[in-house]
Amino acid sequence: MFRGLSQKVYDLTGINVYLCHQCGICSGSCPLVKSMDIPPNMVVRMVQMDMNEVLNSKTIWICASCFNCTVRCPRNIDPARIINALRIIKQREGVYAVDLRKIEKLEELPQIALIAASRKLTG
Amino acid sequence: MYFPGCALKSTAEDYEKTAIAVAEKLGVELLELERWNCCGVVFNVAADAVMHHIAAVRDLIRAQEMGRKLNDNRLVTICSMCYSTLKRVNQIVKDDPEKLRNINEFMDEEEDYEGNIEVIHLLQVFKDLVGYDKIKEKVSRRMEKIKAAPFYGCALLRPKEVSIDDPEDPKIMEELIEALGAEAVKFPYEIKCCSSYNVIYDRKITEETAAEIQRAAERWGANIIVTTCPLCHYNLNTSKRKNGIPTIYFTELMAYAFGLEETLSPETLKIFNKILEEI
Ligand code: SF4
Ligand code: SF4
Repeated sequence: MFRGLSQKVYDLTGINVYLCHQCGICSGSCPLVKSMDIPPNMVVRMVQMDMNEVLNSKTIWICASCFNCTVRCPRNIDPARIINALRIIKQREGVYAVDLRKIEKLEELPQIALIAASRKLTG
Repeated sequence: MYFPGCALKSTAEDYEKTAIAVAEKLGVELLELERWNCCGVVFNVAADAVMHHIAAVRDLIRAQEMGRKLNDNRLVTICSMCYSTLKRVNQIVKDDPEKLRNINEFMDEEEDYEGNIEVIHLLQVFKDLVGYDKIKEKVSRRMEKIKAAPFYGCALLRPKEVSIDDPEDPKIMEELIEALGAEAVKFPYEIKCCSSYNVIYDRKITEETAAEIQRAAERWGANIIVTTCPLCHYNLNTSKRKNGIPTIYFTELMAYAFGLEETLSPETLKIFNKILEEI
């Protein structure tokens, strides 16, 4: 059943993306969907379809792991973790979303933002 | 004993100061862990991410060492993100003996973690150990002009295995605000996310999210937002709106209600004075 991306996601998280029935509740619950290029339900769909383009979407970096979608997904498949898995796939290829050396106003930012960003947005 | 974490020692100093002061007033002594390191802030979801749990487990070992002396296994967290990370890692290693064994073996310079520390949040201490009746007794100031909207954000409530309350309809802060004699303004965005580390990825996203949350709280009649998280605190205060309502820590609200002004920063005092003047 698994192939390509869905296999990788399964290996990383143990989640079977084919359980998703595309109800869209995750995207409807997502506080950041406005800023995303691909809504969370579509990300899951693209993993089902083994569409590697999803790895280039901004969404996988914008998702804040707030777990709103996770709490509400009626299929209990944890979209936040799927998105995080895609991010980890990119990170393990050496692709990071921010260059920590180029952050502006570094002194003003709270450390939790920096550490969270360094762990979520870089490898 | 309590785990301070990085934010409380720097950008959120006021949070720590007021937390310790109000706890003391309520007869709870918060003892700082003798040694600690960063918890890691975010939980890594990959099943094979053992490395990413090490920092948190190290803190749990510190708590285990100190807990033995104090004969107490409760580790109180104040920052929401520390709460979430320590709680989740704690749960994972408790549920997965093999993982715990791996981690223990990897950290052979430390004693083994036995998995018996209980991670709780300060709000739970106030609700369950102290009780809101006792909190009511300590209030020495009239608070009814303060209309406080509780903002929970994500880390305290989700995922639901580590939630301190109902993840969709939390009441814990609302009840606390009411116990303090202020008006609690429940608003529809109370469980929204502040956009977290997007402040680093794309600041605009955070500014917009913050403005949206502020606007909603105002529309529901709040004149202040109360949070538990140093990152929500920072992010919500980045909103560029003119005269947007301010965001403070719940412990600052408590300190004010208890008449502990000396623990508040001048900026926070200004916020309270402004609210009282305006009405
Ligand atoms: S909420 Fe769950 S089942 Fe519905 S579209 Fe999102 S991932 Fe799929
Ligand atoms: S975890 Fe990510 S995708 Fe899910 S609701 Fe939050 S921001 Fe949206």
